[in-house]
Amino acid sequence: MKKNRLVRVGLAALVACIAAGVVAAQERTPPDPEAIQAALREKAKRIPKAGLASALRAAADNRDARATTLVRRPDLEALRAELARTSAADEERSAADLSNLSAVRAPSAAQQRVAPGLRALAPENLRRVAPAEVERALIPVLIPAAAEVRDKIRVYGMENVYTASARIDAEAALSISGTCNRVVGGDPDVIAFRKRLAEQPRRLAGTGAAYFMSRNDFGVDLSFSKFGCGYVITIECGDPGADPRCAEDDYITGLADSMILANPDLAGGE
Amino acid sequence: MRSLNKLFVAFVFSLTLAACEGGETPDPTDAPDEQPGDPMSPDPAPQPEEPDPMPEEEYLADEEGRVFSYVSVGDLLPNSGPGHEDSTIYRPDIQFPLEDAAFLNSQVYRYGGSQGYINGMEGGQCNETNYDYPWQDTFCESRSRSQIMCPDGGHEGVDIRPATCIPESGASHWAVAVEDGRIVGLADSKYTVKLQTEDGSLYRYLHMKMDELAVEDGEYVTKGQRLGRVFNDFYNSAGERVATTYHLHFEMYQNYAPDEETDPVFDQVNPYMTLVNAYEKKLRGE
Repeated sequence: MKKNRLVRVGLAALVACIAAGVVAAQERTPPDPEAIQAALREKAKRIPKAGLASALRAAADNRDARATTLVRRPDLEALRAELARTSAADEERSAADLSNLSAVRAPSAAQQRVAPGLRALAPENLRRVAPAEVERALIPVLIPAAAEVRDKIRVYGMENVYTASARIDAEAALSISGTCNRVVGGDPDVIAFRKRLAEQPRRLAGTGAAYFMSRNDFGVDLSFSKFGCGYVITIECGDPGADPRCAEDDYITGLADSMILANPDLAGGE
Repeated sequence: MRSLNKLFVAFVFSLTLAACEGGETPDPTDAPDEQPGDPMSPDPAPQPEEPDPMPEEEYLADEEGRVFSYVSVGDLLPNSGPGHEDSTIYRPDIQFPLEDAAFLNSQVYRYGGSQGYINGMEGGQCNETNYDYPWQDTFCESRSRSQIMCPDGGHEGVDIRPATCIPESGASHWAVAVEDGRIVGLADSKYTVKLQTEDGSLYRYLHMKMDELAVEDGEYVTKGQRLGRVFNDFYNSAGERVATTYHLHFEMYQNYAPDEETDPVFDQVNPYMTLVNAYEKKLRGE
């Protein structure tokens, strides 16, 4: 009787092992690439050359989900208020710092990192910035105040947009682009997704600006909005996974939190 | 006890059978649209006949006569991650970024890519299916990245193969300006060409032949102007030039706001449908 039971248990274990082996083998078998390619061809859409069929195809594919670009100007009141707020905060700092005008106008990287805010600085005080480039921009031209960036940065200005760019060192490059024009509309699901996203931004510790970060094979992006405009800072690193400027949040958030307004005339002068 | 043993053995056998029959739990989303008819149910109403499919020559085709086709936005290659379904055409009037025919598909999960084995696509990048339609979206494809639009991290642009596989053909395939704009930040970047437009779009072109670009830093360019040749330029963590596959990685930044009240976010959006639209215009000769 006992022997019989043992045989059954042994048999059951053997069958279980075979079953497990079969399942594992199935999992290891890679998909058939020809079948994948055939499935892609099967579900792919083609576009009729002309006529009603083409229009129907476009409608079925929601090809009318078009976005629109709206021209917008910056909120200059908010810009002036932020400059004033930073100025007041600077005045509250130690008398030693206040007595040194250059520290306010051109603070060190360390000072800037502990002093977030927005300070105005005329382009003539920025070593590699051509004044004509910032003067043609009708949006706030913001550049990071950190010394290692400020002294190397170039500005490419147009009326509604700008980019500022600097190679920080052999391992890392930075750029910041901005525009007040905004794109609206498009896919309703994406609009809803974007609204949900906007409800939960992270905020810069010093200025309180809403921001979002993305990392990629090349480095890191930080997008933030100020004065009704959008800005994106990109840092490209030789080794994005190991270089703390790309791998960690502190460096790029520090840059975003402490900025120089390179076209002070926009706010009514430096 | 004996009946328990029988039950156990029956259970194990049923498992074995299921496995042998490839008996995965069917995914409801994979269920065929048409189910076989139930012989006990009354005859279904007669269905209208399927219209004759249009002949191939009625569809848009490229200069080689290949009919253009594309898989829906957000529908990525199996095992390459969840996509981002965004049918928005962000810029309806851009020019397609390559002069010749082009093929959007994965550089990583297809032939020649480091993860091609996952789909059994092992072999070189010049496999003919890499250079054929249909196009497939690669925005949000799984990579070691975090992108706010991607449900699982992911690729922040799309990858575009040129008309021919360059190692075999030796051909030059040009990337062009998608809009009028300005080349910015070129002096500071090793493998990226950025094109910024006056009304706020920012495009990034990666992996061109950077030592032979057709444009200079700060230059104003016009729509369709040649920027450089599609190549495989990339760099490793030691700063040495290394090769990727021959393709153009293309990104589109937009300062997007869901409505007038919400602050905009200037970031990468999925350019796939914008490129489908641009390619359609190209094939139509518009």
